[in-house]
Amino acid sequence: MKRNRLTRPATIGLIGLTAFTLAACQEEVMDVPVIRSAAECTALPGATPAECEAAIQQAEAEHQQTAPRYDAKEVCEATHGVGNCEADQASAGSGGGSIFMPILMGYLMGSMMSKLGGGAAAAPANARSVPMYPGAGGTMSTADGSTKVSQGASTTKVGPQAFKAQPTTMGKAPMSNSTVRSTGGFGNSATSGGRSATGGGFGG
Amino acid sequence: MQKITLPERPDLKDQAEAAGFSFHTMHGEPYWDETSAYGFSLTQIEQDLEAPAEELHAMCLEAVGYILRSEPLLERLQIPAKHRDFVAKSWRNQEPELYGRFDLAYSGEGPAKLLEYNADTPTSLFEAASFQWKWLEDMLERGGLPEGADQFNGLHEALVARFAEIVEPGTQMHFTSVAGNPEDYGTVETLAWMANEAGIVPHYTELDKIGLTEEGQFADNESRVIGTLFKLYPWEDLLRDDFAAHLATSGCRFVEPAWKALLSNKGLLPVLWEMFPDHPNLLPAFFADEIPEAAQKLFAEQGFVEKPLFSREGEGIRIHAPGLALAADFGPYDAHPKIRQAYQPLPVFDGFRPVIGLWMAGGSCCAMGIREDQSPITGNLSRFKPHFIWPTA
Repeated sequence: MKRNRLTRPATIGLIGLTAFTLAACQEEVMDVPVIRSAAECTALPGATPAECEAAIQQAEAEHQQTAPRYDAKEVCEATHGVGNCEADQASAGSGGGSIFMPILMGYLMGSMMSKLGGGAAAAPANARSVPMYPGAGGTMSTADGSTKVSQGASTTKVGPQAFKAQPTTMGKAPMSNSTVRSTGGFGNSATSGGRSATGGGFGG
Repeated sequence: MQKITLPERPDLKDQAEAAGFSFHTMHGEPYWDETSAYGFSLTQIEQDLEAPAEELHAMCLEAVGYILRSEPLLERLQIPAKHRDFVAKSWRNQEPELYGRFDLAYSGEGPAKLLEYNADTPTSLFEAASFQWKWLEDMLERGGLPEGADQFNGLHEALVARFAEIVEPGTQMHFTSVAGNPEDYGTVETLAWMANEAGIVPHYTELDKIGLTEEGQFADNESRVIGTLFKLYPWEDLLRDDFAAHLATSGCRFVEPAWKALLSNKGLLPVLWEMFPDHPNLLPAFFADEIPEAAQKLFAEQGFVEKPLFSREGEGIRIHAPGLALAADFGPYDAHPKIRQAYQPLPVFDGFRPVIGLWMAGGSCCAMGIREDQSPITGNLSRFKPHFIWPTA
């Protein structure tokens, strides 16, 4: 049996660089327009009324799918501010009516980036208009809270992460204060009494 | 098998740093050490190491089925009762394994003896697969090794092929390791390169950033659901963590699969000895509280090594042998049940004792990596040594 190992291709890549798909924090940051109305949209350089209407309709549809939903108006208002929540019309028809969602306050206009010289960031994957919701302290943010701007902002700097699809909330158990996501459930390293806390590794 | 002195490459430090091999020096001591290397004949590699490793692997797979049929053995191996179905199901569903590393004692003569099987979270992958190979190429190019010298190292290609066999191309696969440990991260990233070459899309998330979604799925640090997870974190801990209750219901596929919990466990050693007594590559081994009389006599004469079921970097290992009583730091692992294994002294080369690591990709033995230590217990000050195969005449 001959090994002939020397036909092996070149030495593999380097530790600590780019084997992994890049995380958002390392990705390109871009300027994206923020609007609150069709009028603000058509005021953008090069934007046509038809484009603006399409972008807003797309965000409205997404709003129905992915808006944060709450099982009580008070819970919704605690996050989004008094007067900023309304009953979910989609669930009202099916005997619901007790589900509340924040109003759609603004739009992160990824679809307009190419007009503004967005470069590589204006890739088709980012050409979406993302709904934004009112939050505390005069801010508004995307459904998952990952992008936050002041309610009067006209542009903001974000990574492509801002345009990722939001988890759908329609038809699922409404969010309430008690059902928060948990983290940190792995890594207690019980058999070693907390090896991970001391910087120890788990390889052998 | 010889150890020969060789010149260190003058640009070693630059190469290590350029490669991101940040842990070439650890604890103030060299970890990668190429001032000498081990040379083997092709016969030694093929007959004494490669073939026995593949046989040991087949025996281990038999042992998985054997252990799963025995509640007392599952108890012995400290598999938590509430997760035994989950472990058994991973075996019934034939969830495929990726890799593993056998550690053996071998002097160049006689059968290599299995010390333990790192079946779940083996590290030193970057140095074995990549940096070691680069060393061979450089040495050949610079005339430091005879023309035609080779290395038992198909690790990169074998794991790329193994990834392609067990994960669909295009799959989004997460890789996780404990935060703040460059050595573990080095192994995980090396695997990600291999996965990438196999058409998989790798993502990294630190272990403690993994979250649980409202639907009971696991999610990464950007709240993206994890469908397939390579975890450089041992099953014995996964099965005891707060999220353990969600392992079975998460819908997540784990690499290595849960049945590896039965193999990366020192309790495997007495099970193998019971199933395959007197196998030439095994050392007599028993659970510490049920050592038959004949074995007690053998242990008194030849000595034995006591190992906790779970341990890392030699912690908790004790050697009791004529003229030698040595204990590593008891460390946190000392509280676990123990096994005893007949003492097989490691060979000594220039004051260092090498342990042979044989890498498995699925059921194929594809590479070797050697670590040596001045102590008879290979610990966290051990050094990685490159090896080569002498050209055949």
